[in-house]
Formats: sequence, structure tokens, C-alpha cells
Amino acid sequence: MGESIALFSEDGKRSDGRGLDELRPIRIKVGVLSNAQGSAYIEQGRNKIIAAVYGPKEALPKHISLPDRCILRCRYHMAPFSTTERKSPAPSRREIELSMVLRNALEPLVMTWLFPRTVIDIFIEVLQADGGTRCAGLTAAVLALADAGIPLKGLVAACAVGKADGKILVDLNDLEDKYGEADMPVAYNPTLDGITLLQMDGIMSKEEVEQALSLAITATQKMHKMQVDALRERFSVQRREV
Amino acid sequence: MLRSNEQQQRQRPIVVPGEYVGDSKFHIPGLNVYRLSDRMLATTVGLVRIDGKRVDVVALKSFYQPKVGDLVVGIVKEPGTAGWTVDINSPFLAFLPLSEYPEKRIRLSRDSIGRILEAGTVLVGLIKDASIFSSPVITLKGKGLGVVSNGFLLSITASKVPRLIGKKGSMLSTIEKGANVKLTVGQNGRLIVHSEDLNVVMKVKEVIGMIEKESHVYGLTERVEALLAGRRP
Repeated sequence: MGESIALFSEDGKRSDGRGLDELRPIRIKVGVLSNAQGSAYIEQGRNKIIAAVYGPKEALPKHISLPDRCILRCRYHMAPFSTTERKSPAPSRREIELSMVLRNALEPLVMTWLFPRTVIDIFIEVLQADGGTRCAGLTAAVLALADAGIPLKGLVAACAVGKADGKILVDLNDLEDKYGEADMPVAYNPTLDGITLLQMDGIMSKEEVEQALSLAITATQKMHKMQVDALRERFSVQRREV
Repeated sequence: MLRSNEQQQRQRPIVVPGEYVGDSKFHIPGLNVYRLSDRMLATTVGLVRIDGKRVDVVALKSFYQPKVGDLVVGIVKEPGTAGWTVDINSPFLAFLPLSEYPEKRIRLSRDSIGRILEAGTVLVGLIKDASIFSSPVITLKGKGLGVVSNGFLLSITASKVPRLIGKKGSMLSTIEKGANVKLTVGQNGRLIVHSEDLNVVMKVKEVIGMIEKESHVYGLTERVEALLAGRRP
């Protein structure tokens, strides 16, 4: 935070040429892995993330199973080659915490009561990181769940908003995340009109939080449309082959 | 009527979880649909089917949910103390108790359970008990049930089994006649081809693949018949 880095160009554009409320280019593909029950791949700017889902299957060891619903197990992991310097492949404190946060963000959507005594495994593997990986990972994970055929109440899309040089920004990249004043990841479900993830790091006033939240909701609605298109694309391939 | 339904299905878009499929004033939620205040929403990726007031979403990928009376093809996973756990291609493992094994006299002192039915044995069973509180129970007592000693095992998504069987078994008999083979289809998406001829098995596999991919596209029966007759559909 102490270092001064120019996050904006003279014409007011961000370091990667985007406007303040502009998302990075997003590419989503569903059903990329044949061994997993469901999978999805997302590229958001320079982020590259793959998500895979296994289950529902019998919960082992049996004592972890719940009699009235299934358990969600989530693993968020950054590959050793995902950062500019090698990252240890062992799960770090941050990764363990994010795994829990993402599980909590997905759980309200999954109809867990339909599969009592079972477990669903969700793997989120970050192949290349450039800020906002938890949000992109969550966007991919929910698509992997839908691809696996697991009943969901709806899809959730996530996007980070924040503040840098006193300006509210949408979809922060690594530079803005590190040198900005605040960072607030938001996961929003347009069907239920509910937020399943809201974190904040840094300082923003009440008005700024409200403004950031409304920008985040607009951005996640755009992402939700992309998710729907990616899912339709995945299942309409069968029709085109005919 | 069937054709017009199929034509309707062909034109219908694919719905995704959370997508609006009907209004609670006019519809009641069916398969893979839930109600949120006055809206009916899909829970899985699939195609909408409206039958009177009932709205269903026919899933394009689904799991087998055991129901009492279903014929299933299972694979013995593990012998236990009072029976076997059986993989029935479902999130839930089924249990085959010793009492549901057709052999009248089993001397446990002499025969270990693992020797009667080894892990990996393929069997055709009937779901005897299924509830959300306990594992489904299967039985091997009944006509046409028991251990499968030869044949080939194929699989299809569980939601496509009704299409594979067809109305009153029409699609199944078309395949059986066309390929000149006997098939046993489990509701859990596994089927046994009772043949030693690899060419026949490959032909059936091709047909199954076609049904799985194109079950929602108009004119499937004609294409299956053409494929079985050796013409490219």
C-alpha cells in the first residue's frame, strides 16, 4: 500500500485499458473434463481456472455423513505454476479459508436434502492467477455442479468490486487488488435475488459500499447471462451433431 | 400425438437451473421443478414438458433415484456380515441381505459371504425397499432376477431409460428385433446385452449412444431402425 503505483492512465482508463465498470474479457466452457461428473473452465482476463465436481456419492468415513442432507466438500487450490513465483503446492491458510468460504457460498443453492447421507466433492484449481480468483472459481464451480446434473435452486455469479485512487472499480485485477484501497468480492444469485458471498478488505464509506454493491450486482447479472449461454452451448452440441 | 410432442420438444429451448418454466396460477411443479412464490423454476439442465397442469423438466443428465419395484442392474461392491453392498449406479449404495439371496440353504460356517457373491459380480435385482432414511434394499428372489454369468454391460444416463424402453417397450423391441439379441434394461441406466457376438454388442452400443444423444430430437425411432438395418441415418 505504501508504494505509489499509477493505476489509471491520463485519460482515466485503468491499467489494462478498461473503464471503471467494465469486466475483463470472459470465456466460459462447460464439460471440459471427461472423467469428472461435471466440469467447467473459465478465463477472466488472465485468470485461468478449472472446476470439477464428483458425486453425490456415499460419504466416507461414514461418521461424517448427515442423515437429512448431503455434505459439500470444496477444495480451492492454486497450482504451483499459477503465480509469477512458484507457490508451494501444500494448502496454505488462505486456500483453506477460501475453500470454506466458497463451500458456504455454494451450499444455499444446492438441494442437499435430495441426497441424504452422501457427499459432493467440488475441486477448484487455479491454473493462472491475476486477482479475483475466488470469484471466477465460484462462477466456474456452480457451472460444474449444473453440468453434473445436481439439482440447484439457481446459478450464482461472482465478481469483485473495490476502490482505488478514490474511484469505485468493477472486477479488480491483481494490480488493483494489491495497490487499491479496498476489495469486496460479491456472489449474487439473480433467481433468488440473494447474496451468497460478501467479503471486504480495506476501507470504504457506507455510500461507497452501497455504490460498489449495486455495481457488483449489475456485473454479476452480465456474468449470469454468460453462464446460461455456456450451459446451453454445452448441451446443445448434441443437437448440432444430429 | 407422439410425433407432435416430439416436435414440440425439438423446438423447446434448453432450460438451466433457476430458469422460469411456469406460473403457479396455472401449473403445479413436477419433476426437477420447484416453486418460488408464484414462479415455477427449473432445478436442472433439461427440456420442459407440460402435461396438463404439471410442469416437468426432463433432465439431460441425472442420477438414478431408487424406487420400489424398479428392476436394476447392480455390481457387488463389498461383501458384509449379513449381506452385500451393491453399486446400483446411484448416489446411494444398495444392500442385498442374505435373506433376499435365492439360495435356500446357506451355511455361513462353511461359506463366507464373499465366496457366495464376489465383489464385481453383476446381478439383476428388484428394489424391495427405498426410503430417504436408509439404504435401498434389493432382492434377487423373483422371475428373471439373479446373477448374470455372461453378456456385456452397457450404460446410459438414467433419465434416458424411459426413451430407451419406449411406449409399452416399443423402442426396446425394435432394438431386440433389429439386432437379434435379448436385452435386460435396468431403470438405473445399466443394461445387459445377452450375446457373445462382439459385432452385435457394438451395434447395440451405437444405438444406445444415439438414443442418449438424440433422445429429444424428432424422428428417433426411424433413425434407430435405419441404423439397425445398416443404413446411415
